[in-house]
Amino acid sequence: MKNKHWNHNIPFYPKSEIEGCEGKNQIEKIFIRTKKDKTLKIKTSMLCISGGLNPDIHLFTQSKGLVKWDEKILTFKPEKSFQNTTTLGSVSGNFDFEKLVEELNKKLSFIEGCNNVNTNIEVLGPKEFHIKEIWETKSLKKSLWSKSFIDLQNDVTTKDLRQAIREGFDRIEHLKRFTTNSMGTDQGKISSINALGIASKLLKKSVSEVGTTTYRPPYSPVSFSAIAGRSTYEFYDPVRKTPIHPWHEKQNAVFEDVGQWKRPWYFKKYENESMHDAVQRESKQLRESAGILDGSTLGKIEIKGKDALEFINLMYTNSFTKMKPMSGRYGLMLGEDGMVKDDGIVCKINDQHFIATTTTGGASNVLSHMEEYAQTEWPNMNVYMNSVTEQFSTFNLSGPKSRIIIQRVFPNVDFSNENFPYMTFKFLDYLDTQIRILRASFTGELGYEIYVPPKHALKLWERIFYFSRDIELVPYGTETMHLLRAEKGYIIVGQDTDGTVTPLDLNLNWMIGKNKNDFIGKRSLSRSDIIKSDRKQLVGLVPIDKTYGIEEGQHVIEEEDLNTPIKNPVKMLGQVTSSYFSPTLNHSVAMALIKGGNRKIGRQLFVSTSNLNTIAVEVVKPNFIDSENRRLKS
Amino acid sequence: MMKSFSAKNLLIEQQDFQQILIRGKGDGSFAETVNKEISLLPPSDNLRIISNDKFLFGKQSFDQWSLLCLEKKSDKEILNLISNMNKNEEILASDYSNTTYFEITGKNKNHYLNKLTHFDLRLKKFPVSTMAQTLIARIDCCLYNLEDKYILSCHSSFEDHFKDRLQDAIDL
Repeated sequence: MKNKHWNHNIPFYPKSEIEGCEGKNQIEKIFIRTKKDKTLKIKTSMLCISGGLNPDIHLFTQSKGLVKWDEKILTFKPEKSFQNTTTLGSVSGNFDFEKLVEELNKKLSFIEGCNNVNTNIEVLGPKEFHIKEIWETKSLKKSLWSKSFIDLQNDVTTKDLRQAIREGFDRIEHLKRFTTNSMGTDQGKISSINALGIASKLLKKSVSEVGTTTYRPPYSPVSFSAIAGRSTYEFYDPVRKTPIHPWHEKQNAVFEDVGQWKRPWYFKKYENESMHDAVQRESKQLRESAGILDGSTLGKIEIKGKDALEFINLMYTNSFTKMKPMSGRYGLMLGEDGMVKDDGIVCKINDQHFIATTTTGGASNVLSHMEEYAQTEWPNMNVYMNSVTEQFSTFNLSGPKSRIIIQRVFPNVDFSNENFPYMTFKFLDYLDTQIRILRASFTGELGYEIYVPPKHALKLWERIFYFSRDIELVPYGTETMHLLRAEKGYIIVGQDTDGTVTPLDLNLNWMIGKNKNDFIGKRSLSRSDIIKSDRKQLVGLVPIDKTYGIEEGQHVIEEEDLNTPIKNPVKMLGQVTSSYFSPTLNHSVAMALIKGGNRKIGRQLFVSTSNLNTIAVEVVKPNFIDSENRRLKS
Repeated sequence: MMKSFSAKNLLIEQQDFQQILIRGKGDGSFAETVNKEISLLPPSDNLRIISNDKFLFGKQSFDQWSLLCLEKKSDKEILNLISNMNKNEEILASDYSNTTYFEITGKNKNHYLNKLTHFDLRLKKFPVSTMAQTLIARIDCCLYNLEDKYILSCHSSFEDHFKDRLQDAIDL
């Protein structure tokens, strides 16, 4: 070995150790302490290191075998196997090549033909195995910044180990988790044994007493692609489509991922139409004529049982006791902390039977939430829930001409205001099945929600367009839906709320059943922090100069100038939660959560912009069109 | 759209079954109501299935059953069945017909499904006449073991994606 290196003019320093290294952004110098205690300085750009010589006992320990530390050969050796396991060679503590044949013949004699193995191994190195412990090199502490790394993947230093032990993490499993030593992708191959050695010295225990951590597969690093398997590219995530999907594709819909669903984001009327232009066109056309949204992804839960009314009263803030059968109510669901969790329309068929809608993304969570309470908090209640999200396609037909259209599609039903008022629903026979129509709207216009079994959905969708040939019925996507609801001041849970918003913050006090004995979150709504007047409250914002747009997510502040010294930062009042350019009003409208928002209505504030300027805005009520609900109830 | 896939000793055929999801206590009144409608008593053991030529009845959990109609019925008949069951105010029956079904037959059916699921398909863990709710191709599915075949069901919204994964697994 020595000669070979010299023959190639490679210097070799036996019985020496690396004492330290230096460099900025990369390694530049290493320091080698020779056997004569002299320190050599070598310029280099690379340093390869080793964790020492340890046999691979991983498979043995992964098969639940117990190991014991051998002080002579400084390694763990199998002590007791759990499964029927045979270990050979260095794993069993045999580093002697000459004794290997003997071991093979002895341990593998149970295999036919394996009791007379002969090998002729030429051993070039030393015949006897000698190993000396160096758990840590003598470090060249040039400054306080010098570090002695033990786990190079997780940047754990020997100082970290000492500190951890000083703090009482004297169990090896605790030491590992506290320092993250041996938790990198090499799974401790470099650091584990050295750390054990250091810990045993510090704790004044033998390595066996300190013990070892659990060896886990894989032994060799496994690439993420191997773990991902087929879950890549087109199979990256399961995709859900509504029954109307093929129609959307034909109409040049641009899709948005909502959970696993593909929802039309907007429809391109011509090739180069931008999203902004498409959304402005769709919104305008709906407010002037009519529009239709594929709302099939909306969560739907059927709730039935003797105690269904009591259950619904407890799940939602609203009171459903006096609500008439065959009517709907916008319901708000809170967590135990009083924060808004989800919303939707609850339809009452009778006191024992309800159908509730949820947000698209919240459908499974709401069902789990309901199941949890039904099974664990109120197990004596007789109530059952089924998710019927997939069992009904939903169309949101909306706009001033929506009544004309729906009357043509279902000529036998009286859709007049008197016979089909706002927030009521009817079941209709359609072909050989049944559909449900609810008069409700998320756009602020006259609107109907049609719930149809999916196998009839596409035909009905096309039928609606067929009967709208002379009316400009526009298909619209989720972006237009967001714009229209923001104009009306309707919130989206998860966009205008963030888990820290109560109904009081949203000025939805009217949705809280005052005479209800209880509902989830009721107690929290009377906490001092919840009722204080300077909480962030939902308000509307309108730019003073109507040519400016307000950016979503920007800060709302009191000062015009952002350039204040760092020690006196601009006081943030809140943030813009929703913002759109309204084609109806011809200016930007926004909703924001700001501190003490209700008291600031009518005041001028400022909103930051992405280019570090501000724009002046007026704080208004979060309702920009038809505050008297005339369109909705027309 | 019906679709079949096949490979050596394997046949996967899409089926057009209808389904009713039933919730209830599972007591005498429950069994009586259901039996009156379909002349079949609901299974009482969890994950057990009972079937005849017309129906396949599986107990999904302590208070939930899935009833598959193997013989084609009109929508009206299904709605009537549901309406009659729902007359018992301690039962919730919902139409679950918008579900996609595949029948998997052939000697290689376990080998094939093992490419798509971590679920243990060995007979000692998944005996004949039992069902499981598990992930297949990372999609929530129900799997019914009918000795000579499996019936696999998932929500219809996943249909296109699921078919692509089924085809892909054949080619693996």
